Amino acid sequence: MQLFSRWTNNFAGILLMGVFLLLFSLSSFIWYYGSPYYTDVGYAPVQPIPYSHKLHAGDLGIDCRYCHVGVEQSYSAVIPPTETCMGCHTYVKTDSEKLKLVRESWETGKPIEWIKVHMLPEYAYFNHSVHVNSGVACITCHGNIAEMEVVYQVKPLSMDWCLDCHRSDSPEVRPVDQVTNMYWTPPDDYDQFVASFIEQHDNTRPVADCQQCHR
Amino acid sequence: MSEAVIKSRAQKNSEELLLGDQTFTTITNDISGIPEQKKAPIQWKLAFALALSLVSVFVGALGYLIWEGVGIWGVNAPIGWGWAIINFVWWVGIGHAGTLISAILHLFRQNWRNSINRFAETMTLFAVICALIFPGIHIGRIWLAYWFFPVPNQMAMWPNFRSPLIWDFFAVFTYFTVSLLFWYTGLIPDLATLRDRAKTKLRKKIYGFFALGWRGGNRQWQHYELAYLVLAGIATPLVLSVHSVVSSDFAVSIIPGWHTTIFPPYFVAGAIYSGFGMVMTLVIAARSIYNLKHIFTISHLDKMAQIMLLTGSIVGYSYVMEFFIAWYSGNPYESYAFINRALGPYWWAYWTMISCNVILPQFFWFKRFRTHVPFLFIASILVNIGMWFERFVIVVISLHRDYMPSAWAMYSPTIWDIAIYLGTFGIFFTGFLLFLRFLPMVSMTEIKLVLPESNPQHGDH
Amino acid sequence: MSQIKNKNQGFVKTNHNGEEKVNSHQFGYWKGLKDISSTDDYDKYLKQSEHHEDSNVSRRNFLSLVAASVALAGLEGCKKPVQKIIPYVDAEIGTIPGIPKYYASTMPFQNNAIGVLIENHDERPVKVEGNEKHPTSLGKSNTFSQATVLDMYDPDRARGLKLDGKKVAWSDYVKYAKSIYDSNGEGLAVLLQESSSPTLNVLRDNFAKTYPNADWVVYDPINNENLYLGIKKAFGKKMQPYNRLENAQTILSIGSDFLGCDDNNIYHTKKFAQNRKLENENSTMNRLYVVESSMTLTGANADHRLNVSVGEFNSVLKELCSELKKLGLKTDARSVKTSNNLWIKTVAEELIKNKGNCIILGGNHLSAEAHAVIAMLNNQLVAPIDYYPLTKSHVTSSKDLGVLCKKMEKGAVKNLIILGGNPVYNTSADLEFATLMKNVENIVHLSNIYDETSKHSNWHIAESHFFETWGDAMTYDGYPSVIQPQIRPLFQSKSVIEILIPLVYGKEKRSYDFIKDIWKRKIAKQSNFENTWNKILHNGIYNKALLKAQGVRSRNVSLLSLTDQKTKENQFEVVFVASSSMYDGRYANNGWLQELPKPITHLTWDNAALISMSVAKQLNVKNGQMLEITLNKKTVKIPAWIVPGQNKKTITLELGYGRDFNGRVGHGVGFNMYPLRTTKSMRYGSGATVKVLKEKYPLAGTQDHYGLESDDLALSKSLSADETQNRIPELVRQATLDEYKDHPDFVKHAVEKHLPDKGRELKDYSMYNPEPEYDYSKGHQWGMSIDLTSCTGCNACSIACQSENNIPVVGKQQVLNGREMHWIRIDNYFSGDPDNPEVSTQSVACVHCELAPCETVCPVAATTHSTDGVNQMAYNRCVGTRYCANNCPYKVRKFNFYNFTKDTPEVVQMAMNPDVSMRSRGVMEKCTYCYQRVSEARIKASNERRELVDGDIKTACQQSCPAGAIVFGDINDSQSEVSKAKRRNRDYALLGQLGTSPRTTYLAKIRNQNPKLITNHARALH
Repeated sequence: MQLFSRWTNNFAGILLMGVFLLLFSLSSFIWYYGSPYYTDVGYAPVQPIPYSHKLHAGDLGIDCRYCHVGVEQSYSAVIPPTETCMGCHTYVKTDSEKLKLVRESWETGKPIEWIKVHMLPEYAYFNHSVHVNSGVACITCHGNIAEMEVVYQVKPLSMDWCLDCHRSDSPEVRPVDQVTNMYWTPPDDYDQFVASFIEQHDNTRPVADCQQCHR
Repeated sequence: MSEAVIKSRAQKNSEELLLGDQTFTTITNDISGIPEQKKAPIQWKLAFALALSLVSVFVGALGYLIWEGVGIWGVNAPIGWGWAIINFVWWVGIGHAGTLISAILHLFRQNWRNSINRFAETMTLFAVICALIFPGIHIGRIWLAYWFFPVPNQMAMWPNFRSPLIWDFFAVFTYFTVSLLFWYTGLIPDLATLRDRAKTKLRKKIYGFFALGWRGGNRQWQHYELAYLVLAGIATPLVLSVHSVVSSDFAVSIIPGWHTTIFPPYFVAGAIYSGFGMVMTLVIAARSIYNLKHIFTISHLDKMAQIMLLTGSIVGYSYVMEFFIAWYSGNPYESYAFINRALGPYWWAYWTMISCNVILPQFFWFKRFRTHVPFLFIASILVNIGMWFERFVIVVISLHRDYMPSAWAMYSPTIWDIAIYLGTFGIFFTGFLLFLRFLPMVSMTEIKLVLPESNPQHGDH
Repeated sequence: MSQIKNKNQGFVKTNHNGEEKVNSHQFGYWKGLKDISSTDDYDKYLKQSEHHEDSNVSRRNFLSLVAASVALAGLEGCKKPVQKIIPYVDAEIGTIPGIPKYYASTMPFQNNAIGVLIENHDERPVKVEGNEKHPTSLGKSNTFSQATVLDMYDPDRARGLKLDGKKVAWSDYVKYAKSIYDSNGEGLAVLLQESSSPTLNVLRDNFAKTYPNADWVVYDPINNENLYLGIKKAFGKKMQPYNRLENAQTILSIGSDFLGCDDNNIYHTKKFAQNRKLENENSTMNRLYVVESSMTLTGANADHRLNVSVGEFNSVLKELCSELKKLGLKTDARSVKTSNNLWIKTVAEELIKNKGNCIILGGNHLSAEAHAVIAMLNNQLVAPIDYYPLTKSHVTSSKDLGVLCKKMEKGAVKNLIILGGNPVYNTSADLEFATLMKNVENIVHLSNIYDETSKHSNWHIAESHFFETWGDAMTYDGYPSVIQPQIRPLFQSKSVIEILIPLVYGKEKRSYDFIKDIWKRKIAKQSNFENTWNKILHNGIYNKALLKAQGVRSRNVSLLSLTDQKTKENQFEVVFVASSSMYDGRYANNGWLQELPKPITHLTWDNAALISMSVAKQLNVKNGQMLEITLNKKTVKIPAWIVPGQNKKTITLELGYGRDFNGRVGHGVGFNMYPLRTTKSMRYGSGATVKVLKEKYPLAGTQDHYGLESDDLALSKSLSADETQNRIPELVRQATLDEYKDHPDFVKHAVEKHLPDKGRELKDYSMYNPEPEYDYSKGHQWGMSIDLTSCTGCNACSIACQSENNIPVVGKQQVLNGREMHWIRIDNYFSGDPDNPEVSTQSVACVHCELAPCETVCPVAATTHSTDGVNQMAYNRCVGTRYCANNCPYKVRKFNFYNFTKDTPEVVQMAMNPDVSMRSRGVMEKCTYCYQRVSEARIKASNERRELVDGDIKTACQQSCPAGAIVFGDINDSQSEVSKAKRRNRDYALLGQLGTSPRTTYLAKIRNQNPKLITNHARALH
């Protein structure tokens, strides 16, 4: 008496294959779609005020540090106080509809609530100043802000992405006075430059110890 | 080998290892009769109900544990490991008898194992499952247990392969996989038998599915025997490796009372000791419930008792050795650790361990005790109590007073420690009882080897 | 153990609503306090503050910033919510978020002033350090000044003003004050705490002018009244002695705990330790003799300690006088000889030998007469003490208090203004202050928390923390220090000065202007005052003293008035002491202090009746046995705690516990001892009887001395006690100065090494990666050295660490389970005679082994080694196997068994250090060498394009340590303090023989024992 049809002879094999394939596809699915490369890159929230970096940093060519005053001294680059905006906009575009919120904030003393774009977990202690002062350019992590109408996240900002640079022998650096320059072109002998750069600033050699960021 | 010798051995075997006038048919009927029963015996039902209720206890306790954290247990500083690890080691230990009996005794052609090996292997499987629960749940952030595995991730982080806990994971998982395969391979012919005897279509289908189309043809038998032998070969080193690795959780550390090179052999011996204890308990229970006294014969119990005598004495020797080394090493911390075991606040644990693991097995020098079933039953339970306390002694007593007297403390378990422990019994017995209900608890194929018929020389007179 | 626990809970419940107590101390110690952050008026306050313009410093939007940081608090970051960035509207010039600001200020403590430097993050004060420019703190701090941050953010603090329980406006109080002002002030009385505020002085004078027949009473339960009276007897007027310990080679303390709870302990410790720093075996050190009845910090640091009951202090003093008389001092002492003669004789000789640089300190249990005698002796011995007039400061006068009480009894007091303090709780029981208060029409009570006294007052006004208010104080030697606010009052609270102004002047004045004006007219009388003022604000202190040291000539003080109180057989003397954690009870609601293991006893969350071992045997009492103590017909119940070095006659009772108030942390914690304290027995009372009760009460001690707890269960009863004794010489390596001179390398021999190959180092035999991962000879390599000779075990480091590193408080129940979280554990070992043991103190935190046992065993590589040699702990990688903690020989790793920080109220979160992550449940934590500080300094240096220099980095413990016993730095820099320390021949690695090669090493303890008195030879020598 025949219990099972012929094909079942290969059943075991098929089963094995299936399981293997499933596991593989599952892990690769998570591997890709679960990673910051997919989840975070391109995050471009709508800000309360349609502030254009393209206009200010790009067309008008205002230096990043004019507003982000903390970037050279503090862990935080600092979102400018309303005061800074009003510095110009008391005279420029004084009645622009877009600036309504800024004026309100200035009158009422209520701060403007910007939406954070580049989010690191609280247990990662990132410090802008040490990077900027060691020749790591804004563009390296933030992309070419000067051409962004709406700021969005360009790099995954994931741990391995950080380590790529921190662990590499030739990290992506440039002359410290060029860090805010979005259009700096590396010299032909870039590798040599990096080597000598690290040579001079001995204390800027990147460290990859856990505690540098997690404490 | 002269014919006469073989004959006589075959005779002898059939006399001791199989009582009454047995034939292939009687054996098949007796054994496959059990899973084919319409109704399970009342004892089975009661036991199963009890087991299930214990499982529910486990589920509850586990839920609360995950909700609140390991703080609900008695663990503290400096006693960072409590019952969870004790139970882990204990269950793994129990899990040793199975493969030992099936693999090693198989290689040594000890065919007295044939009637108990299926039993032992099954017990092994569920014991190891129980053991595997603990490393996962004893950590602080249970949902991150998968970090033990080398999974590629955005943190560019790998497990620390220098850590014995990682070795543990691999060792125990390997052991589990091989035991499972071994157990299943052994089952195939019997499953086929059940398939062929099955009355209903469904049973036929199910047993048939797992029988993998076994027909019992010559070629199949040849391959089968070979595969079984190979698996036995693979499993044998595992029997020794698993508990050696588990023991290195302690041996690799720096704590006096843990940091001991004697641990691997001593742990393995202990494991086999407790394993046989558990098999003994179960066998005695089963043979009386399903009255298989002719299959699990006194002589089986006798032989198991002998092994327990051996392993128990090895364990005892290790205890003595530990003390000797502690003194001989001249390391004050080491010697204090051991004096503290015997005379410290936990002296009762130590002496329970000694009496159950060292003194008790000495009775097995005498055949009267080796063959006295009620005694064996109680003894086999005491053995496992003793072995549990051995782990308690190692884990808790070593930790509670180590290097810095300022950090010395006491340990007391909470209701949740106990609940989880009992819970694992629920899991163990639920599984085991289901096995008794639906699968042949004795390997029919192998036990038939004991019969004179299966002797090549048989019949040519 | 577990059953005892259960028994107790039942027992506690029957006592002062222990219900609440037990609950609030279950896991998650904040659980009981969760609701608080959302109490209506705190929220209202949050809102209103947006608009409220602040006078002092621009703190605009400070709270909205806090709100942001709070919203982001917490550890798990798996799901990404929309996060907001809330910038300033107009930033204060020079404010850059993320860069902490430091403001100098002053912590007023009774009639002293402790100069502090307060670290502000995002405009909120989070950490207190000592102010180096300040003479009393000298850049150091003590447990109280460290823990005060938590008081500031106490969710239980009172809010605003209340009249008969109803909220009222500040203006209502002003009206009330005006009404008094308009009346002639008949029946007006003000009751304050001790203070040395110059501004308060002015107010007092004007108060006297405005209300000629009103009372101005100062009272604090812990005070130096007898000392001042004694000095008056000796020199003619009350004066504040300033002990220049740096110039004292021989110090005799008669019951004075000048290193512990007594006043000015930062200064004392620093100057005392200064002369206990040994470069090598030829260095000299001072010698400390202590006469005391109960083991105190001072006694623990004594080179020779005489165990005498307080009642016999006078006889010791007499004997000392008679011995000194023989050696040529002028006293009318009759010659006496007791069993202590040898000891006293030796001391006397040494005092004479060191005439000019020796000093005798009397404790506040001594009578005025005794203090007078001591003052006279000091004067004859030309002791390095400066005496400063007390006229400018406000000190306790129990006479005045008595008068006030009489008046109240007669109903002669109509308006009683209680400014701070808690008389109902802490005045002597026989005054029955609470009942007297019934005869007063209006009582205004100013206090930070609604407490025992507030309940009996119709007005209650929330008192400002000194972080929130302008004020001033004066050091003992007269340096005026300014108190400047760090933050606007969180709870509409007021300061003493703000309350008094409308009372004294009949109208409001802004305290800032008022104080500034007084400084302008009375203190810094300078042409360009503004600059001076700014300088003062910057330094926190004005560099010209208001007082001058007085020349003193002592009259002959007769000893005849010195009587000693003999205690009868099977009776005891009861001694009241300030709690090292609660002081007089004012810190009862401070979780950090409640959980801080007390020096010597290592008790947390409770006070206890300290009894000696022999008494315990005689009464057959175990730790935690409830006792019923009766003194002058007054009775209290309190559990017993057995302490080595306690006098057989003495039962020591800590004040400050058993509070019954709205502070949910401290409510009902411990047992109130004030009911036993009467005017007759303010400091101690003899003739107490003890009844042993049946109940047991679990006391959460963190160290089981002499195995008292566990060895009861053992077969061999003294197993752990004996073994501990064996290990002391090895763990805390020690010698007398003479032994050290003979064997400069004695530390090397403290442990037998078993090295097969003498050519190789211990660590070469380590089983943990014999090849270090990194080349430790390059770059900065951090290390620490702790000098056991100068460390007094004062606990400042432990609290500083807690404050810097956001270490959670776990509550009594968890401490009982051995789960306290302090990263720095201060170990005490007692060697020798249990009745007068030698104490070895050792503070142990993670020692950062180069070959760390913990690192190899972590399955997920959460704890690893950094290139600069620090044993790092990545909290977020930790899964919590606790294997590392098991495998740590030093047992310094602490585990979050529950999510201890989950319920931290918003207000308390403001006290947390934003540079350190809050740890969640199931995570291991430990000392990181304050790596956040290392990073900060490293980045600063890197930004400034310079190398790190020694001293750029100070760990929290190092910075707080008044003894300067902790040194941290780069061990590759041969010139750094730490490598110098490590080169000393006393340097040893704790448990070094394990081959862990720790980065924190210890300098052996040297006792400067007088050869004539050496009794104890528990030594590391062989």
